[in-house]
Amino acid sequence: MLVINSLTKNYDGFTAVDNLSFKVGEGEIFGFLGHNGAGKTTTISMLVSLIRPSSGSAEIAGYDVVKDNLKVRSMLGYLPENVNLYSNLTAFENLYFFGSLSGVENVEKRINEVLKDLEMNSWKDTKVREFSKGMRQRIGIAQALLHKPRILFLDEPTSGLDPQGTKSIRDLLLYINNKWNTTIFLNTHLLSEVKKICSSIGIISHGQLLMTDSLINIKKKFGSEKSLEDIYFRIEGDQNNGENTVYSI
Amino acid sequence: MGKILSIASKEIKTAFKDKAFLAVALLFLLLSILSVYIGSATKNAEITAYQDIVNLLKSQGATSIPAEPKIFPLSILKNIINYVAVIGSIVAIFLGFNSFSEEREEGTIKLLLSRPIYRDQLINGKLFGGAFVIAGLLIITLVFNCFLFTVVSGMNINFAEFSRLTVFFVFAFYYMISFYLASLFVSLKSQNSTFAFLLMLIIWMGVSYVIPQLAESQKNYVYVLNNISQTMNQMPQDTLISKTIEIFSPTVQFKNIGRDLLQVVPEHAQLSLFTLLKLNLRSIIYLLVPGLFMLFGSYNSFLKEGN
Amino acid sequence: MSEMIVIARKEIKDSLNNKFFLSILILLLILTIVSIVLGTLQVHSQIAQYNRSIEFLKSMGKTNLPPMPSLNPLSVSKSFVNYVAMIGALLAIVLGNYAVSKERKNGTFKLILSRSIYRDQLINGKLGGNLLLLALINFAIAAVTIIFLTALGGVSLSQADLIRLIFFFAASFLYMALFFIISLFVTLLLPYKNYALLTVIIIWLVFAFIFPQIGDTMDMDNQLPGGFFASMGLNRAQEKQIVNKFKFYETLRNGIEELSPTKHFERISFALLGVKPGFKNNTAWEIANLKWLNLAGLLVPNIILSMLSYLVFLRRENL
Ligand SMILES: Nc1ncnc2c1ncn2[C@@H]1O[C@H](COP(=O)(O)OP(=O)(O)OP(=O)(O)O)[C@@H](O)[C@H]1O
Ligand SMILES: [Mg+2]
Repeated sequence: MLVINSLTKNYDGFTAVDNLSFKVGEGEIFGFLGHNGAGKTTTISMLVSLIRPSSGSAEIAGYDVVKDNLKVRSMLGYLPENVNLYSNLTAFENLYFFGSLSGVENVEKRINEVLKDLEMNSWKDTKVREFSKGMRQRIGIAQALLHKPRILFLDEPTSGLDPQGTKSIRDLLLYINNKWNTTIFLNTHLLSEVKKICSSIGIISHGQLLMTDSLINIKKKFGSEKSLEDIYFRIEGDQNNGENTVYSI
Repeated sequence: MGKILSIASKEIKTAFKDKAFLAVALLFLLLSILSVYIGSATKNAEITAYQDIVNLLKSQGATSIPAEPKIFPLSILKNIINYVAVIGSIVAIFLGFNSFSEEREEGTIKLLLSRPIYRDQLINGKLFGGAFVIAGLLIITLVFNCFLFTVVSGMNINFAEFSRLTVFFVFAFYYMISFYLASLFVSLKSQNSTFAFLLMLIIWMGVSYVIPQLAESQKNYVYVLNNISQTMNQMPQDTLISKTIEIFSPTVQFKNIGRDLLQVVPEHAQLSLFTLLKLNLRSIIYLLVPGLFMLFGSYNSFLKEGN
Repeated sequence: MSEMIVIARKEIKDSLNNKFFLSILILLLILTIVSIVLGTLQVHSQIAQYNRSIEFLKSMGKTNLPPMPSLNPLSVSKSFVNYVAMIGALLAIVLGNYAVSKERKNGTFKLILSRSIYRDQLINGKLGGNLLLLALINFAIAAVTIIFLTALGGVSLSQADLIRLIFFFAASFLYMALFFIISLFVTLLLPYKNYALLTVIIIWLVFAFIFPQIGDTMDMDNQLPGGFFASMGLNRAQEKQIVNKFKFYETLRNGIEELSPTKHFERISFALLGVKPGFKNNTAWEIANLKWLNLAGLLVPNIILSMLSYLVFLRRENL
């Protein structure tokens, strides 16, 4: 579904993403783990063709994210980090606008479907300004789902939510993934989150990919460590011991 | 086209939900309508004053009586020129200053750009939306004014005058759109909408106030001898410096064209529309250039930004 | 007391680090200089023009000659007063907004108020610091004005002229302070986004443009280029006689103008700087006395709004 090949982004002199290569299969939930400033958002921005890679390439369902960017953009759904939507407009008005821009036919009907799936039907005509953070995030996911994307890119969708809100978003993602077999690319810095829903993960640090693997393998390898911290330390420890750095499936 | 319209209609919708914009727009409407009223009232007062003057002069035994001031119907609307020039431009700034910077602040620009639309469609959509709102405001003003005009002043305008009025509103539209485009451009370039707003305010001050004042200060005040009373008056006259300074202010150009179109300049009040426009060709060009410049600049910088 | 000084000092420092504030300040100083230079040029050309027309009139045997134009560049260019009024007000608005919004944006109101400091110390500090800054700005413009006036304009300022200038800058300080307070007050009231700034700009527009503009268009004399009464060939006495018949109309016009602090400032300034004729022989004090209503028009709203700001600041729970 997603193939990344030596993807790199330089910001005058500073390499935010460094020679990234990996694959994500169709129907997977991929957790992209890394600390603040690791390069997660930069990577996702290149994949949804918001910014151009300095070098390297990426393909979604066989289409290049730079050359076929219009086609690529019509296949993906994207939820940026900290997005507020148009706070003056209602949930419906927001969705109607974004739906039309994605070229959805019969937008109104589609909005009702999605809102029903997300259990947000009763909030349809409320201004987004009045929403709690969790509800806003749900509408954010809704706008990404309107055009039935084959792959969803979510940048820290649970940041700032309480445990309940976090759980409900998690359940929602599993539901989406189950129902339509949508591939999900999830940025996060919480290992706990990844453990609960992801089928495979990648770890990025200082723009470089430290490892990618399926969750089952990871659990085998790092069963004893509890946090991302521990895994970092373990991998960095391995690096210092001269072992090969990139773990792969 | 459908996508451009979606963006345009969203722009319109948000404009009408924005209390600050509504406030200035309302102010603009009220004033331009009030201006007809004040204009008519002042004219009426002036005519009464003329009668008084004639009586006064006669009682003092004067032999030559000044001619009755000639009133051209459209000149009653002349205050509208100033309101469009000053408040119309502010309305356009309120409409445009956060069109991109707010999308950035709220993160919605990412939602837009990750959709299958071209960047120029986004600009076109915003442009259409703004144009629609501005045109709407001006049309309301035009209709109200024509209506009030006949009711309050009791005068009628003929076809030639109506076409002058319509052409005036076309220029008003372009003038306001220029400011809207400038705000789009500034908002495109800045991360912070407060900054964009203040910057536009400074530009507005410079263009609609500082430059005209500078030009004004360089005019020549010639002493004119009044042939009835034999008193001396000062009349402003353009000089090369004042003319050159004025080139940089679309506001002055707009006012010049507007004054001619609305029959404020008595010598030009009876000319045909075509002659009048030909006479004002230079002003028209100076008025057109900045807007086109901004349009080009916006496209250019936004399309480039993708790389 | 010392807390207040700490806060006042921080206010001034913050503003001097604010690029936008600095740019407006520089713009104001440049325009001050420009209008003095242009005013000087204008004086020269006016005198030449005057001499020519005097020659002409004398050759025609006229005896009632127009008076000599003023030699003071400031009184020739109205723009000097207008720039100070306009850009000074914007400067003050930015200061007032910034004083509140920066704390809000950084969440530092809570940090400050959780220290052992009273709320009134905080607002005293803010008011004190910013008013001091405005005073300093006026002082700077005054210095620039006096230097350029003597250096370029070739005007030797008498003591009376100097006192008039000082009075002018005192009035301009009051005017700026008023917009500072308005901005501070509205920003305290409206916490959402930049609505406060937009609102203050609308208020400013109404005061500085719309009221004077309405007054202007209601002025019969303004309806014809060169003046309606002049074109009818009336002299001052005759004009007065006619205008007297329109008492109500004129009162209304005056009333609208008097709602605007900008107009108050303009009236005092024009009298002090000699832009408006008729005050040539008055001392600055006499002018201040004659224009006491305009002075009050600047002073009273300042006091009222300061008190309101105190009230809001001390009472409000979420700042
Ligand atoms: N436009 C830019 N110009 C310069 N540097 C940038 C730019 N955008 C990001 N960076 C830098 O690139 C690095 C990666 O940033 P990125 O936002 O991708 O991190 P992240 O993993 O998403 O972090 P977080 O968890 O904080 O969201 C950071 O060091 C950041 O400072
Ligand atoms: Mg990030």
